[in-house]
Formats: sequence, structure tokens, C-alpha cells
Amino acid sequence: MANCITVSCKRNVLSEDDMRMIHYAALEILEVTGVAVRSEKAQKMLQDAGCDVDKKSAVVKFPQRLVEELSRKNNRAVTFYGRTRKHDARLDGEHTYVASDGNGTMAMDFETRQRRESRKSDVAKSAFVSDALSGHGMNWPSVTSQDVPQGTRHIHDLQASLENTEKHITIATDTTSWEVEDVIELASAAVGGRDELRKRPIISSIHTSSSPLQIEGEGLEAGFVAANAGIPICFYVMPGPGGTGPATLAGSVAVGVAEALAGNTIFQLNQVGTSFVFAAGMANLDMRASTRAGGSPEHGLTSAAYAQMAHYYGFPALVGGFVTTSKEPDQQASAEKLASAIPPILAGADMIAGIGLLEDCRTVWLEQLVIDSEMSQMISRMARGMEVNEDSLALDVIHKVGVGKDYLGQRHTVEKFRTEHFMPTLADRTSWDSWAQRGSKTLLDRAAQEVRRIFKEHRVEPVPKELGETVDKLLKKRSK
Amino acid sequence: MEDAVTRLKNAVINYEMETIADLAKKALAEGVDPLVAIEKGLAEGIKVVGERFGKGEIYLPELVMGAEAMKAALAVLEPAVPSGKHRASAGLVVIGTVQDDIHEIGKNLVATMLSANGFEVVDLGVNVASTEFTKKVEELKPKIVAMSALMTTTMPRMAEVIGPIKKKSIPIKALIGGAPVTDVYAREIGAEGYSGDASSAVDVAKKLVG
Ligand code: B12
Repeated sequence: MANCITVSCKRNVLSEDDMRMIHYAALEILEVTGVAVRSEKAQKMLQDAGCDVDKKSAVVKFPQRLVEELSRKNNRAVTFYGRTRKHDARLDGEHTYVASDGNGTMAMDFETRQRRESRKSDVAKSAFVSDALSGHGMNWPSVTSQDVPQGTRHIHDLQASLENTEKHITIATDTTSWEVEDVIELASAAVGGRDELRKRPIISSIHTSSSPLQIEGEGLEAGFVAANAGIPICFYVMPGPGGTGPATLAGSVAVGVAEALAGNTIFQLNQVGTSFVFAAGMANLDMRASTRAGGSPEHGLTSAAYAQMAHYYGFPALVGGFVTTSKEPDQQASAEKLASAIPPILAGADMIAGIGLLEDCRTVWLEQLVIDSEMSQMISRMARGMEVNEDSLALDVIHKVGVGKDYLGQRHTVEKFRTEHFMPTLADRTSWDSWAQRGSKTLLDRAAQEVRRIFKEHRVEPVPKELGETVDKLLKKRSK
Repeated sequence: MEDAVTRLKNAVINYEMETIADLAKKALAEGVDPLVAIEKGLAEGIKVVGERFGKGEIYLPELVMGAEAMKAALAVLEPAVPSGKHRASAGLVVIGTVQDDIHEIGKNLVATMLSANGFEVVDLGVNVASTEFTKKVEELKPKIVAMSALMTTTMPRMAEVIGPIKKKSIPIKALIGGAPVTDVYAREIGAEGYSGDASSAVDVAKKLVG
């Protein structure tokens, strides 16, 4: 099983009643206001299924019965497969897989220390470093290749990812039908054919609504191509409280759920049994800086609530976390990343997007990947919680050690501390003196050291040579 | 008693977006010159709102409400302006999100901020075809064409607009922005202005027309 967090100690932000209220609110939104669906193909399916479709405005009003019925037609046992079996991620609502986040456009060059536009080599390096991290379970390419010809980016992004990680890859640069076709062909080449890919989809595809309450045609129809090939759909909704959603968190979650249910209705009408993932990044708009406040505590809350709503219906959830608007891997970055990640993980979100970026999902730092992975492991310890039983209460040892002595030399201690205590790789817990003696290294220094170690020691299983051939073929086709 | 023009100014300052249209109608009925109502009333009001936002006294929603109030009154007053005359403004800006791109919040904020700072703004919306931009530029002859692109795949659309405009030597400045856009990129495609956020977009726009 892929690296994951076992959430034994669940902490919900919504009560059963809260969830029911949001559910009814979402159904009312779909029935009264509706959602604009700008695809004739989808409109036709919806009309045939009994929806009220206004051709002029593209607004579709959904009968509750249909929405509820199709919310039970999705694939209820989704696995995000890895290129190697040890990285299979079963989305069972009990485990959290932390993904890298996702499609940034800038990179801090690890060697030259320049902040510059992202290149294909950045896609490759970030995938390689992520592959080595135990606080990371699946790969969303951190950035996109911008040093390649227009129209070939999706090919290069996926190639660089496949070659440098064995983990599942979720991809968002395939927003048109032809791009999705290329992506399917590439992934098939990596696993030995289309049938193999259908059995073990090692990629998933991200498609979005356009909040509030719109679904664009091109991205949707691209999603159909993916779904028809058996690729799971991560349907991303982003009502930002105060901007593209009501300022109140509950209201924005209701809008998001309505959009997701609309999306699911369409995808199940297209193909019953589609693996449909409730995905969301509902960060509020900062009312002073006019930016998206990805690292806000509210984002942590909406992510947790949305994950709960996904599970309420029986969908897996991919939600935002580890986000920050900070420009450097500094204190603000750490605080915001934790604030946005802890609530959704403790609520049992299946996947978090994710680690490695700064400036609200814009710029990748390899060091930040390593730092965030450690944060993810800290949260993992919190999520595991505290076991209370005869063994852990340890009365025998307590009586044995008695008053005023220590537990260091006890067999119980040796047996338990490795699993009871989280042991950091990056955090420095030494005293001032020994820290100073070893060069007063900052967190960033230590993270860089870890990145260098990974480059030296880590190995990734090579891809079949068919992949390279398929890449060449597709590049020729798309460069025309 | 306040005169009608001051009332309009205060209605913008107090975000009276639901009732300001009636005030505007009343002003016209009282014989107030629509140009004066716009320039001395609405424009002065929105200037105050913009300054307050700049100083951090109010937040985005209030700024947007101020702009909404102004828009509602303009809808009444502008048709009453005698043809041939035009309201004074810091300059006409045509703005939109480029083709194949539907990200709109950033673009909306820039549009609001510009109109709150005295610019006249025509918003073409999102997913605006490059040819639509050039058509509107030729038709409306704005001082600035402002474009937003949020994706690396749609950034080149901005060059598609700037190219033909430059070729026809239309006297206009291009102002661009959006998450992946950088000042380096702006220079590369010959855009005169770039800004990373809506507040500084105003300063850049002022420089471009100044
Ligand atoms: C919200 C959002 C969406 C929403 C948009 C909703 C809406 N109604 O606008 C939805 C869900 C629809 C969406 C869809 C997609 N998105 Co999107 N989205 C975002 C997100 C998270 C925030 C954008 C935002 O609203 N920010 C808040 C506003 C206030 O900030 P802003 O837009 O940057 O604007 C400010 C400045 O840039 C500047 N500015 C903006 N425009 C202009 C113009 C001028 C003239 C000037 C001077 C200044 C200026 O001033 C603004 C105010 O301060 C960004 C990530 C990010 N942090 O930018 C991704 C992001 C832009 N999206 C991305 C992607 C990939 C997509 C999709 C392709 C995903 C998919 N697979 O379908 C689709 C594309 C759809 C399409 N055809 O356009 C990527 C782009 C990456 C890339 N490599 O190009 C980003 C960067 C996220 C990521 N890292 O993956 N998205």
C-alpha cells in the first residue's frame, strides 16, 4: 500500500445534522437555481434523464430524485494505482494519501537559487524527490513544463512524471479531448496496453466546475474521454468564500457540494460506475490583499467539511491542505501549511493536495517538498491518536520502576518508543551548543542536505521503452 | 439640504447600490446636468471609496459595493449625456480574460479597482477571443487594453492580441497580469504594463496614461 496516514483518531467539523442540512441545501440549489452546463452533449443526456434544460442560458435544473439516485451509481471502491504495486492507494475513507501539489508555474532553482519559470527538468526533479518521501503518497506534477513547444506540455509533463516516480499520477494539464487521448496513450504505453490501464489506471484526471454553479463544455467533454477509458475523475470545485462563494463557510461548502453532485450526475449518465472523486480547494478571498488565502484556517475547515460530505455520499475526497501564500519556506509557510492540513486529515480526507508549493500553489522548492513531507508525518502521528489498553497503560512497569527513577533502561521502553514516538528527520531537537557546533544549520539547510541525499541514493524503477517511443510519436503528431 | 450632486456622491460613499438609481433619476428630473452628476458626484464618491480601501480602512466587499453603486447610477445618467459629449475619466480601459481561459476573479478585481480610481472600464468577460479584443479596440479606441491569463497555456493569447494592434500602430498601451505572468514575459511580448495585483495595477495604469 502506498505511503499513507492512518486516521484512527477522527475529528469531524460537521455533525450528522450539519451534513444533512448541507445535503438538503445542495439539492435545493440544484433544483431552484441550477447549474449552467455548457456542453450540448451533456445537456442532451440531462434532458433525457428528466432535467429541465434552458438552451439559451445553458442552465440545467436537476430533480432531486435523479441526483440522489446517481450519487449511488459511482464506483464505490476506488483505488489510485501506482506504477508499481507497492504504491497502490486504496481510497477507503480510513487513510489519507498526501499528494504533491499541483501544476505550479514557477520554480526556485535548486542549484542557481533563481526563481524562474518552471521547466521540464523541474517536473522530473520534483517527481523524483517526492518519490523518495515517506510523507508523500501520490504525485500531482508539482509544476508544468514551459520550455517545450505549446501543445506538447501535457506529453512532457506526463513523461517526466512517469520516468521519475512509481507512484500514482494525477494530471491537470489535459483540459481538451485530444490532450486526454494523448495522456491515455502514454499511460497505456507505461503499463502495457489500454486493457491493462483500464484494470490498473495509474493516472487520474482533474476536471473542474467554474464556481459559482457553472460547468464549461470543453473540460467536461475531455473528462468523458478519460472516464470512458476507465480513468478516475477528480472533479475540482473551488467556490472561494467571499469571492466565488458565499462568505460563510457552510454556504460555500453547499455550493461546492451542489456543483460536485451536478458533475457526478453528468459523469454517471455518461458512463455508470465512473470513479468520481469529490475534489475541492475552497480558500477564501483575502479581502485586503485581493489574493486567494490558501493557507487560511478557513481553508482547513472547508477542506475537512467537504471531505465529510464526500464520505456522506460514498465518494472519495481530494481536498486542499499544506497551502501557503508565503514567498519562502519560512515561519508563515509552516504555520499556514499546518493550519490548512490538520483539519482535513483528521476528518479522514482520502487525499490532500498537497505538498511542495509556495505562493498559493505557484512556486516549487525541492526543500519545501522535504519539509512538508515531515509535516505530513507529524500530522500522521496525531491522526493515529493514542491507544489506551492494558499494554499501553503499562501498570506493570509503573509499579516496577516505582517512585523517582526513570524508564530509560526498561524493556517496555525499548519495545514501544519506536512506534509511540514520532522521530523527525529534519527537525533539530539538539541543544544550542551541539546545534552551533554542527554549523548552526537552518531548517532550509537541512532540507537541502536531504534533497542532495535523495538525488544520490534514491532509485526509481525504469519505465518500459515503449513509453519513449510513444512520446516521440505523439510529439511528432502534435508539433505539426 | 444637500444638493443632488452631493447626494449622489454620498450615495456612492455609503454604498447605496439598491437606491442610488432613484436618486439619479430624481437628479435628472430636477434638471441637473448628467455630466456634472457623473464627474462631481459619482466620480468624487468613488474616489473617496478607493482612497479608503488604499489606506486599509475598508475591505474589498465595500469597495465592490461602492463600484456597484456607481455602476447603477451610471446606467441612468450616461444615456442622458448629450451625444457628442463624453464624461471625463482617467481613461478608457477595455479588459477581459483571454481565450480558452475562464479564471475571472482576478480580472474582476482589477476592473473594479480601475473604475474605483477614475478609469472608465469596459469588461468583455472571460474566454474572450483574440479577434474580439482587437475588434473592440478598434471600435472603442481605449487608452489601455488590459488582459488577464491564469494559465501557462493561455498566456500566448495575449501576444496574439498585442501583435496585430502594434502592426496597425493603434495608439494604445497593453496592461497584462494573472498568476503565471511575469514582468519579463510582459517585456517579451511587448506589453507596456504588468502588475502582480489589483492595487498596483492602478498605479501602473495611471503611469501608462499619464
Ligand atoms: C480559483 C481557480 C480556478 C477556478 C476559477 C473560478 C473563477 N470563476 O474564476 C476554476 C475551478 C474554474 C479553475 C479552473 C481551472 N484551473 Co484554476 N485556479 C484557480 C486558483 C486556485 C485561484 C485563482 C484565483 O481566483 N485567484 C484569486 C485572484 C484574486 O487572483 P489572480 O487571479 O491571480 O489575480 C490577481 C493577480 O494575478 C492580478 N491580475 C489578474 N489578472 C490581471 C490582469 C491585469 C491586466 C493585471 C494588471 C493584473 C491582473 O491581480 C489580481 C488581483 O490581485 C489558481 C491558483 C492560484 N493561486 O492562482 C488556479 C490555477 C490558475 N488553475 C490552474 C488550472 C490548471 C486550471 C484548470 C486547467 C484545471 C483543470 N484541469 O480543469 C482549469 C482551467 C479552466 C479554464 N479553461 O480556464 C492552474 C494553472 C497552472 C498552469 N500550469 O497554467 C493554477 C495556477 C492552479 C494550479 N497550480 O494548478 N481554476
